[in-house]
Amino acid sequence: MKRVLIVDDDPDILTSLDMLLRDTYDVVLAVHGEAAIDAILEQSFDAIVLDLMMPVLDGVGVLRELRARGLHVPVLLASASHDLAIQARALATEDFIEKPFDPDLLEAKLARLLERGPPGSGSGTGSGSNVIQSTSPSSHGSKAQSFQP
Amino acid sequence: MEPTPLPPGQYRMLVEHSPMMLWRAGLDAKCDYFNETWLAFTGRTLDQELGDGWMAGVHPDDVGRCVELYLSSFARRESFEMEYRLRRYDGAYRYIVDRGVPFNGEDGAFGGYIGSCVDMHERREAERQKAAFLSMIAHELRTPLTSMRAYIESLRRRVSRGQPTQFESLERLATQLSRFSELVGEMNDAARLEAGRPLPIDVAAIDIAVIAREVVGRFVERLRFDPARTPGAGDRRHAVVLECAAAPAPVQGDRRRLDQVLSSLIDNAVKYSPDGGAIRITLARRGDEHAVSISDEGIGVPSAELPSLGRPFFRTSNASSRNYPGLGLRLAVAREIVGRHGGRLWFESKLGQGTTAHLALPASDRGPAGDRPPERAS
Repeated sequence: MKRVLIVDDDPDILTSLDMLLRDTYDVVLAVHGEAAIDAILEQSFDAIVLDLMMPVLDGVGVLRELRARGLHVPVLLASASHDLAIQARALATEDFIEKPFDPDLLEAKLARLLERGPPGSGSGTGSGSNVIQSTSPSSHGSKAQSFQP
Repeated sequence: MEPTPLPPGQYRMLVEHSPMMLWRAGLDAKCDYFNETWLAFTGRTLDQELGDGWMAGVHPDDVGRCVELYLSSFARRESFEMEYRLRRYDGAYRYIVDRGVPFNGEDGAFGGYIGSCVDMHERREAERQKAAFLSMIAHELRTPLTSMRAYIESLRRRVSRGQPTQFESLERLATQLSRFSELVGEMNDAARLEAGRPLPIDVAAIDIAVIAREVVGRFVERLRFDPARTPGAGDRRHAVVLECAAAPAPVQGDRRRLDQVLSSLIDNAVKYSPDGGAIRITLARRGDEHAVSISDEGIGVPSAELPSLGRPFFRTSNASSRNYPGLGLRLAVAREIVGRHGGRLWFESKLGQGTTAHLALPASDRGPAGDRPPERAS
C-alpha cells in the first residue's frame, strides 16, 4: 500500500480525508508543517497532500525544507487560497487542487501523482528551490533551522 | 459681483499652504518648484527635491513606472495621472495620486508641467483590507465545505458497498455543518456591528455551567485523533480540561449567544496553541459574578497588544494571516455579546507561554445566605 501524508491544520479536513483514503492508502496525518517534517524524517512517503496556510510552519516552509534536505516526494497542494494555480506554479509542485474539492478529483489526482513513479525524474522540481527562496516569507528562515537534528 | 483678484502675495500663500502637494517642472522636465505642503510631507529641503531629487522618495518598486509615464507624457505634452508610494518624513510610504498638467508660459508657448498630489493612503489601505477580507471569507467557508464533502463521500461509499455507516462520521458531519452555520452567523453578526445595529439577545434564566460542559464536550470530540495515524503528534495534542463545581451557575442570558462566546474563546485557544498543550476551562463564583477562564499554552499575545484584542479585524503581530487565517471578528462579536449581558471579557498573556481569556457574567442567584447585605427598598 502506498503511503500518503496529509498535512492540514484543520482537524476535520484530516479526519475526513483519512476516512476517505484509508481503504486505498496507508494514510498518515500531520497537524502542521513542522509535524509533517517530523513524519517525513521518520518514514518515507509516496506522496504528500499539503495545505498552504498553517501555523508553526506553512506549506511553503515544508517545500523549502524538503528541497533543502534533498527529499523528493511528489506534492499535491490542497488549499483554499484564491490564487492557488499561480502559487503552485511558483512553488513548482507536481499538482494542486482547490478547496473545496470533489473527493473523486482528489483521488484521481493522487493516483496520477503516484503513477508517475519515483519522483526526481519529473520536470519542475529541479529549478523549484530557487523560486521558493524568492517567494517565501523570510521569517521562516530561522524557524527552519530548528529541524536540524 | 465681480471677484476681486487676489494680490500676488496671497496667491503665493494659497499655493504654499494648499492641502495639496504641488510641484512644477520646466522645459527640461526637471522640477524647479515644490510647495511647503510637499516639503512638510517628505521632510526634505527644497534643494534635495529639486531637479530629479524627488525621485529618491518614490518607492523603489514604483519609481521606474512613474519616471517612464512622466517622461513619455512630457514628450507628448499630455496631462497624466499616476499613483505611487512616496516616503513621508517619518519613513512610512504613503499612496499618493499625482496629476500633472502641461502649462503655457506668458509667451503662449509650452512652459512645462504643474502637478498636484493627494495622499490617498487610507483609501488604498481600506481597499487592500477589503480585498484581503473577501479572500479570507472565501478561505474560511471553503475549509468546512471541503471536509463536509469528504465525509459525505466516504459515507456514500460505505452505504453503496453495504458496509455499516459509522455513527461517528455522521456526528462529525453534523458538527461541521453547525460550524459552517456558525461561520455564516458570525459574518452576519459582524455586518450588524459594522452597521451599528445591536445583536439580538434573547435573555432567559440559564446555567452557564451546563453551557460550558456542552461546549467543552464538543471540542473534546472534535480534537480526538486516531493516535496511530498521527505519529509524533502526541506532544502536539490538545487536552481540553474543564474544572467546574457540580453546583449550577445561573445567569440571565442568551443560551445560544453564550455558547457562541465560549466556542469562540476555546476555538481561539486551540488555534493559537498549534503545538498542543492543555486548554483549561475553569468556572467559579467570584463575588456577584460567575467567572469563566480559558487558558492555553500557545503563542501568546505581545502585552502592548492585549488591549486591542476584540477590535474588529485586529491581528496580533506574532500571528500572520498566512499562518493563522481568520476573519478577525470573533472576539469583536464575543465582546459585544458579553457587554450586552452586562459582563466583562478581558485577556492576560505571556508571549510564547500562553493566553488566558476571562469572562465574567453577573450571577442571577443570590449566593449563600448572608453573602450580601439585604436589599433596601427605597
